[in-house]
Amino acid sequence: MTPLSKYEDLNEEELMRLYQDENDLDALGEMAILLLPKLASIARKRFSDKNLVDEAVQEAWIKVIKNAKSFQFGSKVKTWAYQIVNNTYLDLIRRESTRGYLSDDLAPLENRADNSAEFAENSVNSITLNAALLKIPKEQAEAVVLIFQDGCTYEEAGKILDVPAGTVKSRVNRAMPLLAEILRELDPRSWNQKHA
Amino acid sequence: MSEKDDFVEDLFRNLPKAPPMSELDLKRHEKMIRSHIAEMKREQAKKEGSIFGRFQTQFQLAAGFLVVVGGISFATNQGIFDSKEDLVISMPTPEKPGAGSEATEGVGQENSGTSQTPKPKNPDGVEEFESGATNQSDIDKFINNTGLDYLSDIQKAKQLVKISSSPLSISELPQAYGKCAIELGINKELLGIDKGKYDGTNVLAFYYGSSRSTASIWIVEKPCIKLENL
Repeated sequence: MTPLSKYEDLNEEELMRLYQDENDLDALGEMAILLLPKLASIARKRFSDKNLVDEAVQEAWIKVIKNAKSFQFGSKVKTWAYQIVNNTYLDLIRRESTRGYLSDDLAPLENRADNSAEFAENSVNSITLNAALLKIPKEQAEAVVLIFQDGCTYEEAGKILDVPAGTVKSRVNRAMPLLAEILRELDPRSWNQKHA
Repeated sequence: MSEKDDFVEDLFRNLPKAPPMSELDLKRHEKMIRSHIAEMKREQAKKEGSIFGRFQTQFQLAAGFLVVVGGISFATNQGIFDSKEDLVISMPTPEKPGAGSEATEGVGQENSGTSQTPKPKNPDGVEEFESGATNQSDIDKFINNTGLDYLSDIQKAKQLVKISSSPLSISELPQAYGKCAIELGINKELLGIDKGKYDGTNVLAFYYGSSRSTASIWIVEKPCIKLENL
């Protein structure tokens, strides 16, 4: 689907300006569409399950549309969208955990014959890690995810979280031993294997 | 970093990633976004329409009351009912494209339905900027019917079309026009409307802004589909 001709050459900031100044809803839609590849790229780094990626992307663009009025010029729309997406994904992980997805699906995943051993192990790791992330303070979890899962630099993460790079670093440093401890409790078998 | 930290880092690095979202999935999301926006537009129009409708009903009641009171006092004072001409409001008649400013002025006077003092003309022979719209007959004057094609004759159209110097009262416009102006977001700065064409298609041109020289034009197709902003 091609963008509506009027908006073809406009970037996210210009589309946002059109929406905020003239209440141009088409511009808002085009801006969300322009952000889609970025949202999808973040989602696939966060989730291994295709359906969850799909759900996360949809939830993210709905929030981008819903919160567009509150965007303040001075920062980049992409950074602002990343902040929204970051919260959305952590919320989604939290929701999934209450649905029982994270705990109940551990056993079936391990037993699924059609999965290679490596895939099964990584999937279990993913679920365990997500569960561990929910047990540490949110700002620490955000910092860890941005640095290790999304591959952001401390500076980039700082911009997204609206804190100095040094703060991101100290949050990560505080989070790591906590996570290690929680992971050892959640999955002692793999911890022991690793440290045998 | 300690050994424990390395373990956590390794876990993160080795996490399985979903395959990149396919073009098809991206298109599906695009489609969903467009439907979502269309739904938002419908809701907005409905919301604004209901406010407008309420206002219009109140206006109609007030206007009806004034007509009745005015009629009674006129009959009482004059005792005659022989002049019905004042009550006749003629509808705008279509004008042949390119008929010139003279014809447009004719339409304007026809539309008013009341006697008009000739408006001063500028050196180009184009009628001067109209004074602010205050009543229904004035409003009709600003609903033009040049029939001109805005793709090829925009300058001519701009010269011929009569627009108000102050924003028109939306509640006095035909409902469809008022609703469309609200949808376009120009209800507070609407200066005039022209029935014309755009690339051969019948369109309405909504003139809006703060003055003739700075006015912009929304070209819309029936019922209120945006075609171009000039």
